[in-house]
Amino acid sequence: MIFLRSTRNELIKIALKPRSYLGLAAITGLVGIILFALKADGMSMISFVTSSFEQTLRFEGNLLNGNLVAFIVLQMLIVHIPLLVALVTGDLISGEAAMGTLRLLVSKPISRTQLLLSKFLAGGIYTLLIVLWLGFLAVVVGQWLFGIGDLMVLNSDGLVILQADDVNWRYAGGFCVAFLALLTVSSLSITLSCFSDNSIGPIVSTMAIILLFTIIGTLDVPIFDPIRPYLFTTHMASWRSFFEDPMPWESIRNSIYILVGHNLLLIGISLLTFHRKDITV
Amino acid sequence: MRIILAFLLFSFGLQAKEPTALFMKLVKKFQSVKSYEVQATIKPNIPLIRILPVKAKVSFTYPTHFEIQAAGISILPKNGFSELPKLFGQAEKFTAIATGTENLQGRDTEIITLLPLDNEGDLVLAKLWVDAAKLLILKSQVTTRTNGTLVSDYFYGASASKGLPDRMLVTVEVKKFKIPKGLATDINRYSQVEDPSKIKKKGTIEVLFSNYQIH
Repeated sequence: MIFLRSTRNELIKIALKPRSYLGLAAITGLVGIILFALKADGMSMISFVTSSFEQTLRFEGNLLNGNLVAFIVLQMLIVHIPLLVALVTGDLISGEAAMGTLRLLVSKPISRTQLLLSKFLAGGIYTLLIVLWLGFLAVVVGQWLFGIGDLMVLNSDGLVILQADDVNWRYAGGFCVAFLALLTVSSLSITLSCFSDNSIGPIVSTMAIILLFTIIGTLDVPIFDPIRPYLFTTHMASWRSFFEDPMPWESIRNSIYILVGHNLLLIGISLLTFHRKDITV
Repeated sequence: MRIILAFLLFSFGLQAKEPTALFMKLVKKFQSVKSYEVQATIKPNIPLIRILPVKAKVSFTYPTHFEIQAAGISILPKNGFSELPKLFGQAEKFTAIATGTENLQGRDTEIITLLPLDNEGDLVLAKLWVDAAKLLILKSQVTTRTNGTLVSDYFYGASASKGLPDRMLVTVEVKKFKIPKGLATDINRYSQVEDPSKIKKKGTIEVLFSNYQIH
């Protein structure tokens, strides 16, 4: 009971911070710009993609539909969402330490484990809200503006065309994996927040780690081959696997295991750190 | 000497007349169908494109108008199904030459090559493999300036008497395909094709026609 009350308090604190709305506003603005650009000149982008085939082939049907628009929006934005998540979750412990309210908080009749887990849960709920808002704008608004149709998945080495009635469950699955990836970012920033007494440090550190891991993941250098599969950033784009045909279930399962493993490890590290933390201020 | 010359002239005259006559018979058969509607199942098998078969409704109105209504995205040859109707619609612009015989689908066919009379049109060359006994085109190879060469095989069933196929297999050439990473934004994806040179350069589009409604 006290755990749920603590979680509710954490959610209230998140809701009262103006920066919590920054992420939602940024997503709304970015999606709005992308939707406007695609509505105004999306077909030229599609023509650019299909032009390689158009000497001998012709694509019939509505290529620029809501499903494709949602896919493009997700591809463009999912890379930037971690910053918006870390902006709020990286502040959950260190922000309280900086303001001097952490000591008061741990003096209440709640264990440090429960207190920390309630912060993790509140961070997870905020992350879920961000993902749901992105999903609503990309899929629901995208389909409303552009209509429903078959999804042409743009890969760098070919096209996969999925039928319209085969797409919604893929989006649901893709969003679940994307949420798990962002939850890892949230867990990472909360863990780093346990080590810091100022707000900026954990947020910048989280982004630096994501940047570093992403560069290691994309650099096609053999020396990084052994570690690449275990970096959580490698699996942040796993939501895309739901849009392949045939679906690489083994790869998706592997990504889920790695991401869940990262979350458990980060929660463990933060619990250990928070228990040993000397809260003097 | 005169007799030999006369024989040669006579045989050339026959050669010139026979393919033209056969082609004109095909044109006449084509003109007998003014419009039709048919259910089609389009099964593309194109390198680097994965797509499931699509059901569509195809409507034809003489001479060359085709309308294709499909529920989703479908992939068709560049000129849709209008390659042959375009040839038949401009029959007077070609010279038909007999260029041999070949056995296709277990039938003896005569090969007619169509050469355009002028050099300004899009068509460079067309070859038709014709079952002269049943007046059916079993194969066509159309080369145009804009679309390259398109080879189509035709298989007939219940509507053979009207010259309408039950199955059509179009072979198309596919150029190298590459979307810039910035557009695909699949930065963590590595190409699933190990050796680009092993990618097939030809694809096929199979179209199954059923339930013709001829008007």
